[in-house]
Amino acid sequence: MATLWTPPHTYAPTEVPTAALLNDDIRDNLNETGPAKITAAGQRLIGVGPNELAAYDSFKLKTVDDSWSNFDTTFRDVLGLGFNVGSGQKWLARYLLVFTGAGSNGQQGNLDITWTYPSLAANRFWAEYGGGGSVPQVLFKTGQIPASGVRPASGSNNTTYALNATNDTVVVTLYIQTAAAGVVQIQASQVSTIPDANTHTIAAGSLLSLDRLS
Amino acid sequence: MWTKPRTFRDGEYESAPIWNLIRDDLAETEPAKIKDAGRALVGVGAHALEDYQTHVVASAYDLINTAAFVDIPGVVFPVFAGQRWIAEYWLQLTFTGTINGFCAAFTHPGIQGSLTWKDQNANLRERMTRVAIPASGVQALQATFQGNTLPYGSGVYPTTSFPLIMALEFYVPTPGLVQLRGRQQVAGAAATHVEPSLITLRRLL
Repeated sequence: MATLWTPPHTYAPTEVPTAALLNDDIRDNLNETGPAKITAAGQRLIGVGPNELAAYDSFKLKTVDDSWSNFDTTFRDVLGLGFNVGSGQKWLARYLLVFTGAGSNGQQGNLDITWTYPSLAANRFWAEYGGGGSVPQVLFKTGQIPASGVRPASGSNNTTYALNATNDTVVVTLYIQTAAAGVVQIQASQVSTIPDANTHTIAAGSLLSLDRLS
Repeated sequence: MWTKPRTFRDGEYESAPIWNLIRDDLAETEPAKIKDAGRALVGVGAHALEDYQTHVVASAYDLINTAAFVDIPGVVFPVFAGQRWIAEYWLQLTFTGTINGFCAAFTHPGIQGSLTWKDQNANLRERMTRVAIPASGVQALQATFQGNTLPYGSGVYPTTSFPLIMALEFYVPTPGLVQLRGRQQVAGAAATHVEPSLITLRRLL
């Protein structure tokens, strides 16, 4: 979209501004400023072209629990943590996920994550999460989202994530460059190789912090 | 320079100097300051904004038989005196065959601050390290990541890709370029593949 911004007009000493000039110079330019672009609390501004700004939501706060029980290995949306993207944009999405659940041996979390998304030109994520076992530890992995939009078979390669968090925060940062407009939606399921009868939850209070880069 | 918006009085509407005050204020607003896509704004004083680039994305790069530090092409950004930044480097290091490791360094114009990085130990556990940035600047900062031992850990997560996140927080006394450099920890023909070489930038001052 072409910007409506025009360089501010310099008025000559004898010049009497016309309505058309004032509408171009003041009204249209004011409509391009920050307060004109911001439409809701929590938004930030990013340059999307010369003299052109766009507002975007800088965070999403999860307000309901999502749980997976009784060997539920179906990926479902983590409600409240999706965000809209346009084509040709770059984003850094940081998920701070609060995992709770029952179980033992560090498998209280016992959830995998993946995403559904529109066509992407590039993506990569970095995941930090509590590992299983009796000794506190943080596992740290990176990879690309599988092309199909769901994770491959467990244990196959570095795009597999068994987030065996122990009632802890899981931090996942996702970088994407979009090739189409749509919704980027994080999903979760019980880990397919070790599902159990317990209830595992991504809790209200989980947060998605968003930085639109372009 | 931005001035407090004027309260108009009757009869002033034909005054060019007053209209030009509006012009001057418009010239300080957000769209006037944004030079291009991918730039954001920071306050640099009372009623004063400047824009800055939010990120750098460079192509993947292979280090092969690289015993000495070389510039990682495109993983660079300019800084100017008086500025303060946080630069986060989001990297994945991938190895094929022998894991020859990766060492990082920077060339910079004497920036002052610290570098914190997170990588894996041999059991895929996260570890975090923080060092001061040497005042001497050029290529004086070196961090070594991941040895040449296969980090299979328990064997549950066989992988030859390693996450590496570095956060460079610094003040800029003199202008210049901050350039990431790299070399293999053990120089060899098996490539150390660095991607996507994303830097996210937040200018604080």
